[in-house]
Amino acid sequence: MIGTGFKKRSTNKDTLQLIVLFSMLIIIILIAGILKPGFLTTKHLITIVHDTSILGISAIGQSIVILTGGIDLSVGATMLVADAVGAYLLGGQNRIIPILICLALGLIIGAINGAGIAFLRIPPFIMTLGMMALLTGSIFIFAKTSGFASPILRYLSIEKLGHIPFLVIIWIFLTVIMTIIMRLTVFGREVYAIGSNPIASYHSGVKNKKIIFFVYVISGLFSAIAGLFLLGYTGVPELTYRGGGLGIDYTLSAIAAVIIGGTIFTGARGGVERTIFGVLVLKILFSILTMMGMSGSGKLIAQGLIVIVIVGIYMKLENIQGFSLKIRK
Amino acid sequence: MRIRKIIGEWYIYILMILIWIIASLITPYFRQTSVFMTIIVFSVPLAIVALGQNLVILSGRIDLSVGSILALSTVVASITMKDNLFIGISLPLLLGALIGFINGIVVSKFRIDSFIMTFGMMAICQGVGLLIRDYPGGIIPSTYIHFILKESRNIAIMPLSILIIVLLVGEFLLKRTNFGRSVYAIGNDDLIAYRSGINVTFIRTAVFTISGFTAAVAGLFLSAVMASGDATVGALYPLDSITAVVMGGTILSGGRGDYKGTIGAVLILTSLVRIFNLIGINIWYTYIAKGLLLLMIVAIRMFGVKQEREAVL
Repeated sequence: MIGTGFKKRSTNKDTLQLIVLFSMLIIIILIAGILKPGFLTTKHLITIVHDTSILGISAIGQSIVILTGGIDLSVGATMLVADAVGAYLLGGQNRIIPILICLALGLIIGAINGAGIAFLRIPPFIMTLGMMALLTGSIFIFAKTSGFASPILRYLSIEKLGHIPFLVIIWIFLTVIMTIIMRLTVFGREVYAIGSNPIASYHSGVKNKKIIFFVYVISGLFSAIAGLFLLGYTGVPELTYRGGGLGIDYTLSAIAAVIIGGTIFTGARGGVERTIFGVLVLKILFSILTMMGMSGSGKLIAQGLIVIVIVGIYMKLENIQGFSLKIRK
Repeated sequence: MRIRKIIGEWYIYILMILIWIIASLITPYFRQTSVFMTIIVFSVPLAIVALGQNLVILSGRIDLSVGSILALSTVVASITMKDNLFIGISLPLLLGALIGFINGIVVSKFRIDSFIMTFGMMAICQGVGLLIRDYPGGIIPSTYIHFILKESRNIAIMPLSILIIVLLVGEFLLKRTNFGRSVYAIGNDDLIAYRSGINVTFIRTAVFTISGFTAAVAGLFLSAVMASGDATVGALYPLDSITAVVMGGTILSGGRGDYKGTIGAVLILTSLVRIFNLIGINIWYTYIAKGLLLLMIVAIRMFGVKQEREAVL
């Protein structure tokens, strides 16, 4: 945090970063359009965006957490818990209570995370890592991998309003709401203040602990929402265990998307609205690589390279003053 | 006061012995040496990976790529080892060190966050590993396996001595060398370390190189245990090694901690799996136990540091 705490937030660099991101998005799409003529059709682009929305929703919560200088590793696990519990309780019928239970589950998981981080002062990385382990264990012990999504959930996740899928509308709506909250309310400004310098914010009267607590609660809620829509999108619960922990793929993709969007780990730079671009860049690149007929291993390599290169460009733009870029983990 | 200090330093071993006593009271099988030997054998790879991870975390960074470097190392070993044992051992080690070096140089020179850099590297190494070998297989010479897993009178001599050597090397490196002190200094505050004449870039690169190297060493050990190469074997290691390091008393923001605690935590983590297996508890309960233990230990430790961090989160 040396040198960054007192630096004035330069709007020029923020705009420049956004321009880089935006032009990168356009260039990628254009190149893909030239290479594969089928890419640049409206229908295909909408399909890609539709595919992206679930990751987008879970990344909203993650970006707020990262804005405070924290990290939430339990996003994917919370998603899959909501997914499995929702499927089991819904059982293919339109019921409101199971949906509410899932959302409450997200809130509770978030609240436990928040309480551990804010009141017991466990570092966010460890708290959410432990939470992920707890959720991984409990879901495989208690959950039944059965059940279906309710028709309404399925309708909302798959069907379209005109040409635009409902899911995309929901994603944009949630992002707009969160952007307004983050940019225009006291809560949002306090989140940025904590991310920028927690000691300074504490001494200027921000209730650090309360804000941090609610940030993780919000993250849990958004993960649960994303999990429910994932259930609607696939129809049946997804409970595959792919090493490391429950839903670790979703978690890491969400973190990568947030970082590509220009929100940085040290906190207070970037915003929820940026994450849209991050998610889109990540997903469009993937879909291009798939269209080029690249194998799974090739895609992994490309993903790694892309993440490193994009963040490398940002760091070049940032031109951090001072020596270190220490993370408050 | 003295007792409190001793408990503070050795709490993980006290916990380990408690767990072992309880386990041996519950199930008679746990009193056999063979069970302990299995625990030792399965602790070795995680302990070796955790040495590199411990150094990285002490220097205030994090390394997520250890798992896929380990997997890549088993894959390369499974291909090269059958022709020439020397190349089969040295090539994975060189490769691991090289990947670690790239991590280190990018993190220290270009100042890309270590989480993102090693996350990207994790994907790249996994991709390369799958490209070379997309399903487990390959040949590991039986002479090599017998040498690595050498047993006599029911005691796994070789794994046990590897564990002890790694423990001694780690403690020596951290506590008795200039390099170790520099790692602590960087972890506390790299600007101050820089101003006091420590070559921060060099130390940081070296730390990541060692982490890549140790991951490759663990891969070589694991390839003997599995008798094959597997590009997906490393998925658990990044988070497990971080868990072990943090449980062992190293602070995630760097500068404080040691390696003997990490070894204790590794032994606890592998014992839990064994014990749950022997008692016949659903294996997924180990995840719950792992998560709860981690959170409890860190919460209790944070209880000690009260005043100084009241405002800071």
